[in-house]
Amino acid sequence: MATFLFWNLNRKPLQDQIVTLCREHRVDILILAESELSRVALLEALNGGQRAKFKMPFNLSARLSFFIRYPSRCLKSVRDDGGVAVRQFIPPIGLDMLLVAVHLPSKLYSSESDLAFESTRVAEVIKEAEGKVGHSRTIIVGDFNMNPFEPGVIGARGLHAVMDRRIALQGDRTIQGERYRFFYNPMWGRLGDKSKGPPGTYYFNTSNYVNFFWNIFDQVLVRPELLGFFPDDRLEVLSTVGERSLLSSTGIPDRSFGSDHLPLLFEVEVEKGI
Amino acid sequence: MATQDLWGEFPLEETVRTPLAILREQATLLGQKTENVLQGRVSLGRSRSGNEFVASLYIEAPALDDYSYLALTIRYPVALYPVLVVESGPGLFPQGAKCDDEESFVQTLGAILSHSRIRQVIASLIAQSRENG
Repeated sequence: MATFLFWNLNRKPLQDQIVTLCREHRVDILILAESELSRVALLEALNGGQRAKFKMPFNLSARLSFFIRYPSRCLKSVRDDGGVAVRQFIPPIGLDMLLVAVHLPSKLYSSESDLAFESTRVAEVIKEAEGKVGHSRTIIVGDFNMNPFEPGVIGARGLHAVMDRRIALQGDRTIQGERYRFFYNPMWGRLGDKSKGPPGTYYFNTSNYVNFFWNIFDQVLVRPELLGFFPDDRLEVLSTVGERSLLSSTGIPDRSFGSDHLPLLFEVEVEKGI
Repeated sequence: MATQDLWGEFPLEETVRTPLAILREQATLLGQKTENVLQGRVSLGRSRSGNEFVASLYIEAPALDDYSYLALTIRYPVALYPVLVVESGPGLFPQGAKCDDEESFVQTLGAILSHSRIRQVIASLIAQSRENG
């Protein structure tokens, strides 16, 4: 089993919080966005007194950082397209998979249609990468700056990520003669205050007429081929670091202790594929 | 009645370098400058609205299973200019750089391609490629 942690740090010095989370949840693959931490200092902090050491695999992405508790060769760079980092994860035992980490443009600078266009590009990048590695065992994780219900995430020409495993397991659907492959988006089950964990991953209060307050910009999307290895109940939007809450007394992200985004934790049962 | 020429004179002698041609020149140069350890690749497409051309310049490393790094993307209309340059690494132009003519485009391209971040990417890819080769 491989445990993944993704966190958009909002350029905050959250080294101690990251180290605590990685030890608390025995994280194997750590992915950071908007990190201004010294990678070397973070690596030293992660490894202090630990038997299984994190490594920094070869990474040219300026926007996403990777640390893994596997040999460096287990995470191979396939492609870097701005805020899209495509890696092939080849665990020592088990299924190899394509890991796509994203940090898509901020809503502050991009309209919904710009982001939908960006999603089309991301979908093309993924399709090409899947062609290159010869399989579609793909997982996308990151800050999409879009909610699961926005056209860029749900649209067939975008990421085509649906809320129902059964639909995703159909593999694809054809629109006007063209085949579009599905992703499954488990984040639908993390929306709102009846969900397990906080109501979203990012809180933003505006004076606009339409205001969601809570958004799920941080998401993980899974191809049908990996669904048998992806336990839904192990996906968590984290709201604590050790004993301390990442939320303020009003229940929104506490920026004095954490980021404006909450971290995402999930597992992939890679060994099940042997 | 004799056919009347309504076209006027074409500027056939004038050599206009398209933004795409300039990008392709740089892609070719990368291969030459690195003795083909790295290669430049330019992909061309259309914007979603169909009104603009979109071209991207990639740095590729054949020895690293064709790993590719997106250096920049440009968007331009049929009239060629203005060109919007969106770079993916250096952070010189976070909102993209609008170039109104060839001179400004070449200058912007130069600023991005010679930036320390891109040089670092190239140096790293060459070192990794040699290690693998």
